[in-house]
Amino acid sequence: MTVSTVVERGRFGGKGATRRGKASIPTAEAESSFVRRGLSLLGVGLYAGFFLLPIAFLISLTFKTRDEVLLGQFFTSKPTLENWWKAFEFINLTGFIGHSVLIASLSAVLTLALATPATYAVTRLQHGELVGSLVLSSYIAPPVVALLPLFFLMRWLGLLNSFAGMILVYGLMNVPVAYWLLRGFIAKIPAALDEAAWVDGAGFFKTFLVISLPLLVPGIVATGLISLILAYNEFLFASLFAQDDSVRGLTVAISLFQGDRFVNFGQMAVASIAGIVPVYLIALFFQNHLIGGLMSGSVK
Amino acid sequence: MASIDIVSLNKKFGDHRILSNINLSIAEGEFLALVGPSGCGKSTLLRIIAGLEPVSSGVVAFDGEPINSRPPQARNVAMVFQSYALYPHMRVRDNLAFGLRQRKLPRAEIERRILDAARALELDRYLDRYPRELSGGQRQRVAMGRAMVREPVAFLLDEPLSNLDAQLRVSMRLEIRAQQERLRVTTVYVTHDQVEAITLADRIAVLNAGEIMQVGTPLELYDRPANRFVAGFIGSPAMNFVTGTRSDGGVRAPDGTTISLSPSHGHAEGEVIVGLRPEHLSLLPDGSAETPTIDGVVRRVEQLGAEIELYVESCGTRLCLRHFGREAPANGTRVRLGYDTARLHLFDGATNRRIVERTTAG
Amino acid sequence: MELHLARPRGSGGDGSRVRAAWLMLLPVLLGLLVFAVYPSIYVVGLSFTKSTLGQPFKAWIGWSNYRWLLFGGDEIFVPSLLRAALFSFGVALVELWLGLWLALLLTSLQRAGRLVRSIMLLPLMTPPVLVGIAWKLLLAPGGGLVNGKLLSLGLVDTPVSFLGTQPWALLSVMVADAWQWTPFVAILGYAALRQVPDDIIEAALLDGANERAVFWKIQLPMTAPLLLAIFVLRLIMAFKTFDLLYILTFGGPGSSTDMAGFTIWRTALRNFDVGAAAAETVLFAGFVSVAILPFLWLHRRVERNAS
Repeated sequence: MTVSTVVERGRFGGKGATRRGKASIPTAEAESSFVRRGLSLLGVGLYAGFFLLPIAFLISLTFKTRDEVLLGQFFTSKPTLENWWKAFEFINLTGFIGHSVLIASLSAVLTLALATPATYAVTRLQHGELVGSLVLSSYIAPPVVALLPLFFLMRWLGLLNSFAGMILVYGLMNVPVAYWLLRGFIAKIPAALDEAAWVDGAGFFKTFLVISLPLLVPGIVATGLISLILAYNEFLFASLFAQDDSVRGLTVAISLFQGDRFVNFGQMAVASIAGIVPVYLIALFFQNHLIGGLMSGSVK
Repeated sequence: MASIDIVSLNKKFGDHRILSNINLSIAEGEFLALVGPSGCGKSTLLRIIAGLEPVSSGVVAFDGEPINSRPPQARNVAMVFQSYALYPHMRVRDNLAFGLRQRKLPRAEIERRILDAARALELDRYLDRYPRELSGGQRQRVAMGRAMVREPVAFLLDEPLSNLDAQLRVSMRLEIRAQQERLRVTTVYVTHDQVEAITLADRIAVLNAGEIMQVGTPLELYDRPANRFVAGFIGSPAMNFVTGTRSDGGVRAPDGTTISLSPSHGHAEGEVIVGLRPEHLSLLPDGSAETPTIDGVVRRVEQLGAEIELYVESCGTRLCLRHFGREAPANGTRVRLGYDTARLHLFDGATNRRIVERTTAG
Repeated sequence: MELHLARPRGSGGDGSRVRAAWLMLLPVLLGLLVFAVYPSIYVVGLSFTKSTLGQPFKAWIGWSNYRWLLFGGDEIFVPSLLRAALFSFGVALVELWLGLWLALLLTSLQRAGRLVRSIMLLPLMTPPVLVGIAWKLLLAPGGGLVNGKLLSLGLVDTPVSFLGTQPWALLSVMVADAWQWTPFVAILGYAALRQVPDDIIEAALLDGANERAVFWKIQLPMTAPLLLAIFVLRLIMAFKTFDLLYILTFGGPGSSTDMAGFTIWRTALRNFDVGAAAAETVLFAGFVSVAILPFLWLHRRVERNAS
């Protein structure tokens, strides 16, 4: 694998502009790398198949009738759309998805507003590392630790079963993750830029706003998206803090279906697929940002 | 060690031609320098010899045997990278031993080779250090040591000195030459610094935009550059060029000055480029009767201690001239320069190729 | 406390810079107070009481919650702690291995790699609840794909209840978790592998190393600190598993897939014993820290050695 890696890498991203771009497969190469390529493709194909299988199965379920479902096969011989319109008619799917989208987006904005200045300040302060470690260590605790205390606090504040409450909780909850992601991006901004602005007379916050923030846009996008997805996917807090359908989001709604013994697999599948669609759309359109965000979080 | 032959080699990158029709033969034990400006393809050529890049067409052969399809680990060549590429998580000793262990050499032999190389490169005290604990020069020597212990069929060096400061560069240059002479391994050395090439190599291949401009010994390239590019590339300070039209016995420069030619230059007409090296121009004292001469005005004087570089406006351009001595005319002085027609180079104005002199011996 | 960048050569403005920085930090610090400090104190306090959701701090009972959980009476919590550890270490290791393989495969492919990267994001972005639903349907005895294939291939006579029998139940949860998180490890592992300079790999190749040697002797040692960090991260995340359990097995069959987080939830919201749940929480937090601390320490050491 690595030989073809290096030889290919020599053609991409090596030193000099001459090596960028796509190259045709050279005819003078040894045949063994052809086999190697085939094996790599096979391996990757297996992974891809594994990753797609459950989702594909769910999709296929949405088109099956009740009897067909019990057959346990993948393909359907008589596809039907009945599950789709039934699910949307009987369950307030669009409502639930809408709630999730609303809460997730606004909480992502809150997370960014909180975390971005804080991460910047932490990286520029002399003992910032300490604060950073504190923030990160709060991530180690499982959320269930905060479940009961927050429940009581929210009840006392009257924020239970409200959009504001959910947005607040998620906004705060995702700050450690946002900090971890943004840290990598901020580290890439050379300190010399800050110093130049400082010499030019700009204050600390002004420097942040005018110099660093514009350079951080890709990082902010990535972090915002990841925070949004984390909030959208969240279940534990939602199950306790959103107590009726006026605030409930998708994850809780779906969890409520499956208690029923004679649950209609097809409709459940529809609810699932419909619910995932917003997140998958984001993932596909912004995949470069998302992957970039994840990778920069780990680069020192 | 092996001889290296490159026949009709082309390298394309999509539509981009990186190397065109390269033909080069390197004899066993020879030290060949590949020089040229950045982007000329010299590093790519080196990597092709190493097997790190595939060819688009053509043959690379070691000792006459084509090795196009052999992967790098099977070619038994050793490479010194510009960045040294030392294994950061291994001590110097293990860096040196790595290649030998891959080839399953017996432990005693590995030890012997490491100690020999360490002694030769004065690294014996650093064998148990990590690369991050070494200075630039020491790391460079470890990179060389790693190549030496392999006892390969060829050394390939990719600008190994460009990361060192000027003084170190000079001393390491001598070191490399000494090692190569001792081991007599076929060496291909890529550099953009022509001084390095001239001082180190048995022969030099000059590349430009993927093509070989000329291959020859340093003196051949200096005395008889095959084209204007090589003439301007080799030699420091660079050769002076004057474009002009040729009429009988001389070349008419844009400002009207006539530059005399020697009889061996023949009698053709047309656009030509005259080349004269700064060391072949001389500042004539007042009242000197030497000929031929050209007149000019001093525009800049650079005192270098051992010599003076004078920039004189003449023949429609600025000529550089090396003057030995401490006194130089002030800026703006009118001066008279002498030159040796036998040392004058002539290049065709259209093709840039050297106009070959006819030898008087017939 | 000076500002990192402050070189006070007579410049008097430093104080304002530091103040501004702390102001920017303040909201997060307050948030930490609400989200981390307050709950910790509250939970510790609760653990010494008998409480319900309606009436927290109903009665003070000292250590009896702890005694009951650890030494007598309750036979569910301690096993669930151990099971959580078993699960977390298990999936972290498996995902590290699978993810690294995938990362390696990705480094050697270009166009196909890009396609796979898009596909890889999907499991990662899926709400864990839905991961549970999808796998529950896949593994269902009546109508699940896996059973369907097993039956049609003649490998079993009656459908296997994956989620209803041990050891399949725990394994199924692990498989579902691996499905979701292997891409995460693969993406981070890929970034780690890419940090190894090409030069060094080429040097190793020229030195005669084949791919296997390059992987084990060059790539792996040089990415070890990062890989360890990824492992620790996955470990921390795995201890938090809840949604998957809730959907797939609800702790069953019986309480054989109970894992600490789920047990706590159940104690609080099904058994309505909030005080005991708080005690469980304290014990769980302590247990997780103890489990993770050695790895954090190891990571710091490996990092120091490498830099």
